[in-house]
Amino acid sequence: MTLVLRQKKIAKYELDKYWTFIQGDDKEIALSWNQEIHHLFIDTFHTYRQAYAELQSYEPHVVRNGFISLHDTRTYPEVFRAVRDFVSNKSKKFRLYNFLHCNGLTVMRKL
Amino acid sequence: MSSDSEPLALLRDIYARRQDLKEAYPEAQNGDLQALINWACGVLSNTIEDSEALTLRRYESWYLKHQKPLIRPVPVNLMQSAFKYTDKAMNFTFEHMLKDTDICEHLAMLYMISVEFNLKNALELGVGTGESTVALLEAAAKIGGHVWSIDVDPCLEAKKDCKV
Repeated sequence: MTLVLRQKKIAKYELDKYWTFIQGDDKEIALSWNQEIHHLFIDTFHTYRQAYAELQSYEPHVVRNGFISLHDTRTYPEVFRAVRDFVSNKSKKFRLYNFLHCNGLTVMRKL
Repeated sequence: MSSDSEPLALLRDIYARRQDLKEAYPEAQNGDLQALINWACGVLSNTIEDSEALTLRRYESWYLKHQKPLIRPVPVNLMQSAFKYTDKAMNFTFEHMLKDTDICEHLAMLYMISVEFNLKNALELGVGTGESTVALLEAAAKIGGHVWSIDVDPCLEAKKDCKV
């Protein structure tokens, strides 16, 4: 499905007023990101480097008690490896929940 | 090996005189006996305690051979009918949960944590097929939140369409 169709779908539900779509490389956009984030959801390129870089770039904007969730952490173990390395390297604490069905969803709460 | 008719006839016979089985497996009245066969296997393996164990034992190998995991259809209308009684129903998200996508079974979770933890500002990296976007957006609509989505796809025309 093209993004045109995806966005038409959003428009169909009249949810677009709650939505800001930003086209670009999220790692570059991160350099100027200044919004606090309550829920960061990641489902991009399923590589270690990408997932780790995204966590590194956006996690500082996630508020305390906020959530980070990542899809495909079961089917792409390298994504989960990035999660493990990220949480193990940080002084910050996270709670981590793994759902194994439907390709896997990892949900983290930043404490 | 027993023919199919005898073990099925026995099941039908037990079913006909058991109100509890009729309530538990109403589809058997229309000829769909799979759940009943699975029940028989449960009784035979002592997972279910039931006085019919001895009777069913006669066709044990047949029942075990025909046991199948049961995937019951989602009672869509029943579930949707409950939404009108709740203040933050996930109508659109539910529609997407019914699609066979790689994330369909996680949409309720995304919606739920957003609503229940009041996660007003959501940032989505990777729009994918837009399935997760709908769940996050519907939640945002319910709690007065906002979703930012970032994707590498250029699609300038798409943005225009979205604002129609």
